Formats: sequence, structure tokens, C-alpha cells
Amino acid sequence: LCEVGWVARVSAFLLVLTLASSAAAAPAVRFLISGNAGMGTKEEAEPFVQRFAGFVAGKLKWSADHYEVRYATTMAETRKELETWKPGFAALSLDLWLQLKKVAPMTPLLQAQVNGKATTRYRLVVKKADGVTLESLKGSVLNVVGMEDPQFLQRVVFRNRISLPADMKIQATPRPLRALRAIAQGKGGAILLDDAQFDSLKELPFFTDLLVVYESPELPLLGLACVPANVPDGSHQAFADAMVSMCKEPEGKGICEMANIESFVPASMALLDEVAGWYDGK
Amino acid sequence: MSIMPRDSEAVKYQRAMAKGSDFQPEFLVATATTPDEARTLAEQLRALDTVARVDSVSDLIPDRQAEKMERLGKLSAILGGISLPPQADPVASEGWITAFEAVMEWLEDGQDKAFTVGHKDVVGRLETLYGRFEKLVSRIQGDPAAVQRLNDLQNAWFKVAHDWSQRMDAWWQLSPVVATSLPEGLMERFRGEDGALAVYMFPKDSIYDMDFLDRFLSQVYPLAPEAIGFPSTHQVFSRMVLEGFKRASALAVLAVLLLLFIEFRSVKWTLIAFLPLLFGGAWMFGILRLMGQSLNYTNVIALPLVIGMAVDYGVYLAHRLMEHRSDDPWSTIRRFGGPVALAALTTLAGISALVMGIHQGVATLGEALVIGIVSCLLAAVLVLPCLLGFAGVKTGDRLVAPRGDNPKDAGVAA
Repeated sequence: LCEVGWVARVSAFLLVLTLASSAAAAPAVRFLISGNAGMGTKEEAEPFVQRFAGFVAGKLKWSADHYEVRYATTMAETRKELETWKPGFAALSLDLWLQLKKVAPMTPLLQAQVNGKATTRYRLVVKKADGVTLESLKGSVLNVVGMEDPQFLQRVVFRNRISLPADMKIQATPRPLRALRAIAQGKGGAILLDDAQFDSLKELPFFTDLLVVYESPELPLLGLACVPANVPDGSHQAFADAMVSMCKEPEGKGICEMANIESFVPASMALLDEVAGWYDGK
Repeated sequence: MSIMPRDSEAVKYQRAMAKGSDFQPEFLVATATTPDEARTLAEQLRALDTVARVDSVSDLIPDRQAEKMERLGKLSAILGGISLPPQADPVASEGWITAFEAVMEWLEDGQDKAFTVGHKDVVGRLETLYGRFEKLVSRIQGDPAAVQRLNDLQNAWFKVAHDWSQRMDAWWQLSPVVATSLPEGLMERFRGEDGALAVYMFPKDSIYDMDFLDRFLSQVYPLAPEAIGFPSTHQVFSRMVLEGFKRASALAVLAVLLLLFIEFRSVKWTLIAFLPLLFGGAWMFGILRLMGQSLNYTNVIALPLVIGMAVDYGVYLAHRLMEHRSDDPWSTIRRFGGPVALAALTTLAGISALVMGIHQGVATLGEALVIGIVSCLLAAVLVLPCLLGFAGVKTGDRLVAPRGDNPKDAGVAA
């Protein structure tokens, strides 16, 4: 009996030790940054990712082993990380959120603000010519930067004015300027640009050779979403607050400037739900 | 400086140097036994708010040499093996075009990234650069002379790069700088015969401002107790001179009072005879202060001189007042004040020439004497009768006539 008691005590001690160590090694907060919108390769994005994560962790007083950050360059990688790595937070674009919200139910927390607004309008840009319309572009190539989901493009961006991919061949381009130069020379089809890209286009000499044939409705610029199932209760707000403070504080301002983001504002669920409805065909 | 010749070039430039630079002609020197000690002392002295500049041998020896040598070692591992020829092989137009297109590709890649996130300024600037390379490529394609010019430019660059690579080869051979490796010409200024190393310190303000000098030395001495130089001797000697004359003046006053007492055998008449000097002396100090003059090596001499000369006016008038003590003091002064004033004016005629002196020391002595004599004269002829009248001295019955009291004997000293 004495021996049984000793074994029981050791077993109980080991059990407590195991529980304590598992509690101490609590799962790190996982944060996924999707560079689908064009942050470059993993190596190129690494300084930005580390500064970004370092700022948020510093703000929340997290030790290095309390958080993990990963960077995904494509939609496929983002999907894989959401399915297998199960991040608690994700910085991803509107098209990816719409596409993947069924893979991992995500709640938008913040929208990014650029040039004073948290929305953007997509413009379809083509070579300037008489009589060119959206309808006349059927059969040509549609160059896109990052977003290549036909459902998103057709239902959300083009509001069903064209049928994709039937009417135009979608081509994701990592070299939008090369595509634009080709379009300006009459060698390409069309390219879809957001507000910031269209503003940059005005700096280029061939801007006057181009024409906008379609403008989308104002669409939200998604900044941050959380996966409630993977986030401890209450921590999502602290995380969102840390990101909001990033663009306001001197040490974080540079990080926002790298991504050309003025600030982060609370996500407008009304607009996002409306857009999600368009995407789902409701 | 305030006693040096007015408008002299030396004084003018000394003032300009003191005002426009960290240098002063007057400085202190301390010694150290090692360069490290000299460096530490120099750093401590530089932290003082009365010190404008410190010169030390440590300034000639770079700091953190071990760290720099380590860095140089690392740099040598990277660049040491690079050996560039003085001339490059000529490149054909195709070669240039390929090279420039690679640069354009690289520019376009960066421009695409900036474009994607909307950095329009970067996009615009890179576009300008991209356009220049585009022009360059089209120029090369149509102009063989342009290719030649590029090859010439490349050769010029290679020459510069070759020179630099050779210069860098010398860097890898560098060894730490130590005091013994410095040229003798440089070390002469800093090393004494016994090997001690000098640390020079220059004051921030004029050492002729005694308050500043005291502050300067009180800051320096705790760090360098054996610092020497003109400022330290100036502090001692100027104090010695001024204190000596002040003490001499005090003794002169005592001697004058004693002589007056022996003469008048009365405290009251002694004080009456001394009053003009007392008032005149006080006015002199007040007027000098209002004129912005302080006591210096030369004008301090005026103190005992004024005491000796101006006491005569009080002595003469006191005698006359005593002889005619039943009269109103003003009537006595009206009768006998003239000779006293004449005596003072003849004295002034002699010493006023000093005021015109170019040498500021002599001039300030003359000014102090003139002010002192005029003050004492006015005190004698104006203040003395006023005070006596006010105090009713003319009825003083207890006065004792001095021995041999004879108006004819009482001369007026000039």
C-alpha cells in the first residue's frame, strides 16, 4: 500500500508537471500576413514582416516565444496556412477574405486607410482608342495585380457587367508596369488598377495614352481579420488597438509608410456584409 | 588689457583673437605622464564651462584604435583580395546594351513593387531613371562614338578604382598610432625634456576679469593642481599689488589721522580736517565705478597719492576755521577757500596731462587723481562749512588752539 501510495504521488506530480508545462507552453499567437497584394518574395518582405510583428509584440509586451508570424505570397499559400497552421490573425486583402472565409471563418477587424479613405475603386485601363468599351474588350486579356479569383472579379469588381473567365482571359501579373507599357503601345489587353495604383500611373509618361473604360463601386480596403476560433477571448481587440497605434506612433509610422497605409480604422461591417453578399450572389 | 596702450594694433588683435576664436594669448599648462592620462585630463577640462579649448597630445592620437584596427581587419578580409587592373577591356555595343538592360530590369522590378503598393513618388523617380537608360540604349544602338565614349569613361573609372585599391592596400598595413610614432615637430609642443606631456587649456573669457579668473582657476586646480601659466601668476601678483596698495592706503590714512591729532590735539578738529578727504575719497570711488573703471595695477597708485595731497585742503581750512571759530564757517571759507582752490588747481594742471596719455594705465591713473583731488577740494570748500554750520562748531568753547597757531605759518600745500 505504501508503495502504491508512492507511485500514486509520483504519478500525480508528473501529471501536474505535464499540465503546468503545457500551460507554460501556451500556443503562441499566430499572425499571418498575406502578400497577395504585392509585397514581393518572402525574403523581400522579411524586413517588413519582422518590423510589423516586432512593433505589435512590443506594444502588447509579448515575449518572442509568445507570437509567431508567417508570410504567404499567394492565395494558395494563404489557404494552406489558414487550414493547417491556423493563425489567430490575418492581414489579407478583400478578395482573399471573401474567397477563404469559408475555409476559416474570419471576422474583419480593421480597414486600411489610403489617401483619406478606407475604400478603393478599381479601374479597368486600356489603350486609348475611339469606341472602346467594356463590352468591346471581350476576348482580350485582363491583367490583374494579385487578385485572380474570377468570382470576385465578376461579381464584386465588375458587378456582373461581364462574365469571367468566359469574356476575358484573366492573367495575374507580378510586373504591372510591363503590362501597362505593352497596353500603352497597343500590344496588350487591359489592366485592373486600384486607386493608389491609378494615382501612381499619373506619374508615368504614357498615362495620356491610356483610357479608363470601367470603374468599380467603392470597395473596402481590408486590413486585419481574426479567426475567432484561434484567438483567446478578448485578445483580438488589444491586437487591433496595437495595429491602429502603429500608424500614429513615430516608431510604427515607417512600417505603415512601407505599405502605403495612412492609418487603420475599425472595419465597416455593413459595407463588408454587402460586398460579401455580392460575392455570394445574394 | 585695460592698462595697455589705447588703439594699439597688438591690443586690437588680441581682443579680436579672444572674441573670434577659442585661443587666448594667456593659457595654463598642466602635465601628464602618459597619453591616456593626458586624454583623461583633457576630457575633464573640456567639460568645464570656463575652458574654451584644450590642446593635448592625445588629440593627435586617434581614440578607440583597437576597435578600429579590428574593423580594418574585417574590411581587409573582404576588400584585401580585390585587385583591379588600371584599364578595362573595351566592351562592344551589345555588351553595353545587355548590361544596361539588366539595370533597367532591376529598376523596373523596384518600380513594379512601388507601383503595386502605390508609392507614386518612387514610381515617378524610377521612371525618370528608367527613361534615361532607355535613351542610353537607343543612343548606343545608333552611335558607335557613344560606345567609344562609354569605354573611355569605363577606363577612367577603372583608373580611379585601381588607385583606390592600391591606396587600400596601404590601409591593411596600418599599425596603431602611439606618441612615440608622431613626428618630432608635432611632439615638440607637447613633450618636455623629462618626457612629461603638456596639456594646454585656454580660458573662455578674459583673465583680466578677476571674477572670471577666480572661477577659471577654482575649476582647473581641483583637476590639475600644478597647472601653471600667466593666469595663475596674474591672479597672485595682481592681488598682491592691489592688496598692497590698499594696505598702504589704509596705513597712510592712519598716519594722516595720527599726524592730524598731534597737530590739533583734538579729536573734533582732527575729524574736521579729515572730513574733506573722507568725503572726497568716497566720491572718487563712486565716480570711478560710474565710469566703469576698476582698480588696476596703475590707478591703484592714486589712492595713497590722493590721501597725501588732498588732506592738505582739510588741514589748511581747519586751521582757518579754528582761528575764526566765532565767525560763520561760510565767511571763513569765502576768505580762505580761494588759495586752497588755487593750490588744488595747480596740482591738477600738473597731473591732468596724464589723462591724455595713450597708455591706458597712465591715463586711468591721471583720471583717478583728477577725480580724487577735485572731489576732495569740493568736499573741503562746500561740504565742510555746511557740516560745521549745521553742527554749530563756531561756538565750540572746548577747542584748544594748536601749538604755534599762526595763520601765517599755515601754508597751503600744493
